[in-house]
Amino acid sequence: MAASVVSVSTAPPAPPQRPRTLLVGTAITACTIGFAIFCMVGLYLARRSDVLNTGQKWLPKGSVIPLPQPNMMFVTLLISCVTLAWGAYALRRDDRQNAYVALGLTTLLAFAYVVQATYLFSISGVTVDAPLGQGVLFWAISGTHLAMVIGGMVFMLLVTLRALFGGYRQLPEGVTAAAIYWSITVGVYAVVWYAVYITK
Amino acid sequence: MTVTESKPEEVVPDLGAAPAQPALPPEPPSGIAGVLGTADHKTVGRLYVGFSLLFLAAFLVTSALVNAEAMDAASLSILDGNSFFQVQTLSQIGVVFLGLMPAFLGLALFVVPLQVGSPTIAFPRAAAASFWGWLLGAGLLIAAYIGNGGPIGGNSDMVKLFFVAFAMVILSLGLASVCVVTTVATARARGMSLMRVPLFSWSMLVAGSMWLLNTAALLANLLIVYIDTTHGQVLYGAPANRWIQLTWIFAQPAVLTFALPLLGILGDATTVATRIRPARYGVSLGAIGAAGALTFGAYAQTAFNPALITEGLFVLQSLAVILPLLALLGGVADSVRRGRLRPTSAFLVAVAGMLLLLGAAVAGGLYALEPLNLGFTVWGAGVGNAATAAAVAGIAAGVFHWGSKIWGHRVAEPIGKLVFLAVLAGGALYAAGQLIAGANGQLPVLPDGTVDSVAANAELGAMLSTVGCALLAVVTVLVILAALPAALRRGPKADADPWGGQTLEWATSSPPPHGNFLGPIAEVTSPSPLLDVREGAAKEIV
Repeated sequence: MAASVVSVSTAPPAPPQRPRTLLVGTAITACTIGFAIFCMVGLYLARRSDVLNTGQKWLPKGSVIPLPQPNMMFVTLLISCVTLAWGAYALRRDDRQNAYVALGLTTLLAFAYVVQATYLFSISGVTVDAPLGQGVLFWAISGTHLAMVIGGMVFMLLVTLRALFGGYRQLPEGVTAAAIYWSITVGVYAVVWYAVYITK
Repeated sequence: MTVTESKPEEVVPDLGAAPAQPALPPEPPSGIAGVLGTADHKTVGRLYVGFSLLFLAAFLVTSALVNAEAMDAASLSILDGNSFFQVQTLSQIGVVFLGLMPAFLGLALFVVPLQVGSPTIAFPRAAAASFWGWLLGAGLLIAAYIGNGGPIGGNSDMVKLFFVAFAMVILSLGLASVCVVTTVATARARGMSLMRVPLFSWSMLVAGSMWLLNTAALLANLLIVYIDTTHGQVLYGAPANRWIQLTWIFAQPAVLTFALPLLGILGDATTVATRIRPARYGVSLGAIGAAGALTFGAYAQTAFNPALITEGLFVLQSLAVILPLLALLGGVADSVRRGRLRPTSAFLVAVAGMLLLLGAAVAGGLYALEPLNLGFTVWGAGVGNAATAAAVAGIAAGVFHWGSKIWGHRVAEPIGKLVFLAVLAGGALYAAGQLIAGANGQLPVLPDGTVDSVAANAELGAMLSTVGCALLAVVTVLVILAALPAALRRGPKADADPWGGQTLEWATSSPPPHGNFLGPIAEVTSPSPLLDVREGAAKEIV
């Protein structure tokens, strides 16, 4: 077989970097996690529909999903989106002081979400072994989303710490990637909030 | 600490239209340390291909064993009632998640960065982590089965281990898919728009995206089944029902997804075999994209909605997927007509795979037609068998096409002709057996290995499937034998471009050096940059 090697000689200048790899990889990963949660929500709705069609109540006796906590959790996440956008804006303007405050606030709000979610779980009274499988689906969805939020917190903490310790080179891309991940996390919560907490 | 320092000037990112070049990992050490600690996409790709081929051969043998049991429908003769279902489920999981998917991902991890002109894969350490996670998950999965785990095993601890190990395998393969998809999306050479991406890389972008969606849904199922299993089994009840929640991934349309990379391999092998510039490139890209979109199967979970196979969307999807495959096959025929055909092993095997995949799609279309009454018969398994055979052919074609590039020594090309015959015959028999039985109304075997009733020709069908599956196992062994001398650095060294290739992977030595190319890639102006150089349309590419 012929062996015609293409010439190797003087090359054009190296192309400048376009920092998109982390952004795209993060977006793909977050969308995949979000899709998995959507699938669980789909199974939840299908099961709930089946149970309601038999004339039974969906939530097991003694269980309650109050509205204030899920609503406050949603508001907390929405505010965290604003603070994260503030942080990314500050970074683009080289305003590190504002960036640190904004990223710190975002992490704090995320922590507040975790605290509120934990409280909601403790008062809901939905047990995993609820007789019609409600508990399995409820805990699978809310637990996976909580894990997604905690993953986002870790991601934000990492980019913030890299900023604090001078890793400025990767910071704008890292923060933007974290912002993408966080926005998708909030979007996923919007679906969970309506399908699980509001319509019940 | 001060917070008033200004950003250094030299790190202002260029947000212009230049391509990304992911940071190159440090040059790996040699020897065992180089293998264990590597983040080099080429080594990771080789490891994936090597291990997955071994798993594929082993699980095709166990799959043949399961088919052989159905040759005598009255009783089980090799396995007992307890182990039959375990071996059956292990075979299904093993062939797809320990064989087909990782083999394609291994090829992609090696070839895709070269094809798009990148010095490395996106997230190289994540790619390495995905391999070790997959291998560990595979080991735990097999250990769980050995310890009476699996979806309906008798040892509750081992059942839990099965779910965890299966999730680990899926997550690892998902991570590898993210690396491949991100590489195609962001790390292309200058001038290489998505319309100029080589067909294999494009098919991996499509397949990787579909794999992520389908396996994300599978992971959701798996998590719910796991929680249910460990908390009273209130949702699904009997252990046999656990497995039913997961079987949609092995059924139409999702099962066709696992053969998608074959389409790209066929495209690349065709340009090499016909020695002409690919015509209507956009149509080929569109057809692969459409085929991918039409294999989305996360919604088609018949465990929740058995009537789904008669619904309009499912029927339309099942019939529509035939069209892009026909378009691609027509494109191949046109290239053969216009070009000077050199029937390479890769081309022949890929064509055989394409015919099998088209057969799977047509059989899937018939399955969806309600008047034929094929729903829930083993006809559905026949569709899956044809898709599996097509994927096996795709892997074989990929090894013959890029084997010399991967290992730096020539892969035994004459064995490829034998593989072509064996994969065509084996795939046809593997599918035909179940299709014959399904056409006669045979229902699938129950978890205890028995059947409700035996339809006419069901035992003949099982025999044909057994022979076909065994032939596919032989195909995998032949591929291993063809590649083994090259993998062991034996035999004649391979040229940089043994085929007169048209895409960037052939512009570097075999195997490629650290960083893949000896210099930056010049601007790409067509889907066939090396052909541009040969024809004088471009001066040089590296």
